[in-house]
Amino acid sequence: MSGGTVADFLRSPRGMLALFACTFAGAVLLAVAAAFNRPFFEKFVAEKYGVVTAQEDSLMRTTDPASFVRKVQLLTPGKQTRLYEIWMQRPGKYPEQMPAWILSGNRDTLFQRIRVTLLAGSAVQRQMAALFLSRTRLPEAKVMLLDERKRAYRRDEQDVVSYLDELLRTQ
Amino acid sequence: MPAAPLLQVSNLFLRYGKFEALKGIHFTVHPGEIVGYLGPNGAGKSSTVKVLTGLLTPGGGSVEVCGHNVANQTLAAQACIGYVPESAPAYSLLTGLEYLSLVAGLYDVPSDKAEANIKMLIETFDMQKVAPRLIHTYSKGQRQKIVLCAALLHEPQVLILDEPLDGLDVDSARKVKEIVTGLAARGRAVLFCSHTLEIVQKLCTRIIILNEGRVVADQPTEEILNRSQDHNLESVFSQLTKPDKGNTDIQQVIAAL
Amino acid sequence: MSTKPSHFRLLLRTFLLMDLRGQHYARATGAKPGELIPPLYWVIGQYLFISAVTAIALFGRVDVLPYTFVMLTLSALLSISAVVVEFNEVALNFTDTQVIGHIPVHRRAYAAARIANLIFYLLLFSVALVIFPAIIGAALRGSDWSYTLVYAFAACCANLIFPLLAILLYTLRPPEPDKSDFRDVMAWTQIVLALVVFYGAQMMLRDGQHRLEMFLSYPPAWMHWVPTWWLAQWVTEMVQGNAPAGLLWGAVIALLTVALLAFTLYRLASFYRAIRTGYEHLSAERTPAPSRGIQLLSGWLASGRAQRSSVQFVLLLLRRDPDLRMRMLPQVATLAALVLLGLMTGQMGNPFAGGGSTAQSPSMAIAVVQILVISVPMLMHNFLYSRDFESSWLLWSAPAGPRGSLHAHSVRRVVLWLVVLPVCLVLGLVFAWRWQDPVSALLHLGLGWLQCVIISYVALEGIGLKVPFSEPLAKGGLSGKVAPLLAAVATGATFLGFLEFFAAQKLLYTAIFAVLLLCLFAFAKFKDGGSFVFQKNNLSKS
Repeated sequence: MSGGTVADFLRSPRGMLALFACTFAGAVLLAVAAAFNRPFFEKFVAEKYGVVTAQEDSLMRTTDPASFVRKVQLLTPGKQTRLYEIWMQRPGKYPEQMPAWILSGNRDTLFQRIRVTLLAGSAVQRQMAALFLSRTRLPEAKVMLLDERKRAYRRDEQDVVSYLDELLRTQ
Repeated sequence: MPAAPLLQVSNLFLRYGKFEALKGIHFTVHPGEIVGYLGPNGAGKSSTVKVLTGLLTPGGGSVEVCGHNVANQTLAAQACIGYVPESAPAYSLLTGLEYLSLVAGLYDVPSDKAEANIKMLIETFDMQKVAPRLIHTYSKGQRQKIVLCAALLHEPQVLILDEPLDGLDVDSARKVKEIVTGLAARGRAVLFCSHTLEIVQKLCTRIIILNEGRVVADQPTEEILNRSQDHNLESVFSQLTKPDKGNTDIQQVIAAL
Repeated sequence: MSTKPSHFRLLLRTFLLMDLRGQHYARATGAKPGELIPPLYWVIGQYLFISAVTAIALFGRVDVLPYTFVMLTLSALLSISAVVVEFNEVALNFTDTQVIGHIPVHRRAYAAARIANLIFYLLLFSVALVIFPAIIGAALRGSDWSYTLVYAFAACCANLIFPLLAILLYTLRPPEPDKSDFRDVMAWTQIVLALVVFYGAQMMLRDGQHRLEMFLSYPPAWMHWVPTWWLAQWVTEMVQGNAPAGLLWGAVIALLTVALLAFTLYRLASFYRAIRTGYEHLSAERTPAPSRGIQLLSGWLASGRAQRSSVQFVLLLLRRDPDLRMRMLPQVATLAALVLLGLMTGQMGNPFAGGGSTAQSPSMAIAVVQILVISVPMLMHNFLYSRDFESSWLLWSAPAGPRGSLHAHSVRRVVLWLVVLPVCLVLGLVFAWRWQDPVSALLHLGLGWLQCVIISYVALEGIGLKVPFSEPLAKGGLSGKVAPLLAAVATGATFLGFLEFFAAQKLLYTAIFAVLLLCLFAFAKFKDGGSFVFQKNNLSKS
């Protein structure tokens, strides 16, 4: 086919429809390729936390819960959520009751912050947030855990469901 | 007893907002008649034609085409009419042949008859080479010819022609005049709107002159011509449409140019 | 005589054929076909791109329901936008009356053919808008391949229902085709909604607090009144919940769509009949004479009698052609909406004030000006089209340089001085008020104005603007044809925006940036002046 006839064909109604059909077919291939690569896209779904400073770390390593709770209550809501973010980065390093102590501050703000993690965090971050909730031993936290279990079940996340079942059993 | 009129216009009124375009028009066109429909610009010719063809709904009065009332039986009336609009509108992204096939289809002309008529008309107007091209590429005359073909191909009883010779070459204009005369001789009715008075004078059997939305003359051509001493349609037309104005303005314009 | 299926088929075939041919052959003069890639293709490409980017941005971040809601809303908005902005070309066609008005076609057959024509157009867009979200949605957690079918069905219904409702609203008013008040309202509504969607998408990607995901996952009560939310809930129910009950609702949705189609058909049939009379009424109305203001403006914008006449003509049509104003509205409205968003979200900081931890981000202040720069070619491009394109023989035949450069420059001047400059002045006032620093505002807008002037010269060549009002608007022509140039200009403007962002840190850098712009301006003017002189020489030789 010479250049002229290809151009003529592309300009004809039939050619235009063929062009659209080819483009749509290409789009379908690309979309299928994206659909089969969910793990690649999920890699970008994670929360970012600021680096923990030595001062913050020493604050969190407290051995005096009463003093820590007093300090927490004096912090702004933003700084209180920062404590949660510090815990999320190294949960094993701090006392087990730490989540409950942190939640002695502005509870609504903190629960809202945890909701964000459960929604926009990576799988590991979501499990950490669930662990945080379970360690508070608060009734609201249990409700949130149950909601999260429902969501994980809806999303066919069997591993998350099992993990949450485990946490809920200990409540 | 004369045959029933194919086109009957009774007490026709039309209003655009506050402006009265047609003020009680009466006329009839019988089979075999070629009626010239004249008037200065803005007299109401095109408005009349739009009402006759069902494009506009009149404010009062009635129009009957082949016995069908245009207001109530619009489609039946339209089916009897072959219409050449003034500016020869056509779908410019169709070829001439496609356009004619569309028109034939919309008039429900049987396909074999449509094919034969299209071929005949295309040949008559010497459009064989042009017809397969997009109308978009046509000259004004070629476009006019295609619209003429479209008006004729369903063999209408009534022809309404608004400036049908506009843009046509001498030979094509002659053919159109012959076709019009021939069809009238075979019992069709023709309403011929034009500003070219010489053609109207030669072609039409009767002349209607319209001025400011009123019919100011409706007589056989010979009788109309007898109204002026020089037996000239232009003089009669001037008398009836702008009797007080002379040529002084024109002289001034010529001097200024 | 009754409605004949053969008439419907013939008309539909004709309309589709003309639509497709119009992509290449809709020109006022000559038989030469247009570019190889049809304008509609660029529109389809844009829709594919927008839906792909949005679907991928949401992929993995939100659950099935919010994902479906966003994608369905975007899809419906873009469909309405296609119908509203190019309404005369898509839903109505005023030339039909002249061409086939006298032919015995039942008005229902005609309306059905026009509706079917519109459906073809909407389905073409729907395919472009559905492919990515439907397939990617199937890979969401908690979804499966049934999602593709269910979503495609819901999206096609939404893409039909909302434009049809827009058409119904249009036909409920008296048939005065040149009155654009309704379309203005529709255009503003869809612009604001589209901005909310696009702003939301970009915010989602860079917002550490994930406000959008939270908003979509824990929606406020009013969200349950949004029709696309209902549809999204239905899709989710079908995929994750009770499919048999959902099927019943699916049948209801299909029935509603068909009923709406039938009702629109009925309304359009009456509307088409009434519109003829409407046109005749309008033609009998007395049009006001050009105001003294237009004459003064044209005298100010042009030197020489010919240029003045040309500018006056462009100004007059800008004032009288509602389609032209309608086409320009999105660009200006987008800016207004961006300014509001910038003010509300605290991103309208002063780039010249120096950063500080408490200072507001200047991102939107810079973006607004860059968007203005990008809109210049689009604004100029709008002047290429007119319903009276056949009258452009006057401009083609008048002695205006071999390539109609006189008229192209008239458009450039009108756009720059009467659209862009007033917008700049308003923006300047807003910045001066916000920053409490008129000097910075003047500097910012001055640099922006200079960029607009440079881009206006680029646009003259890029969009091939020779004679304004000389082309009919083919479907998709408005945004499709100019898309490649806009992509290039957007890249350039973004680059300039970044440069300004960094240049604003120090006075010296700002001065260098200004000198760079002045050099670009001088180059553009020299290039344009050179070709203009060359054309004049050619004209005198010929």
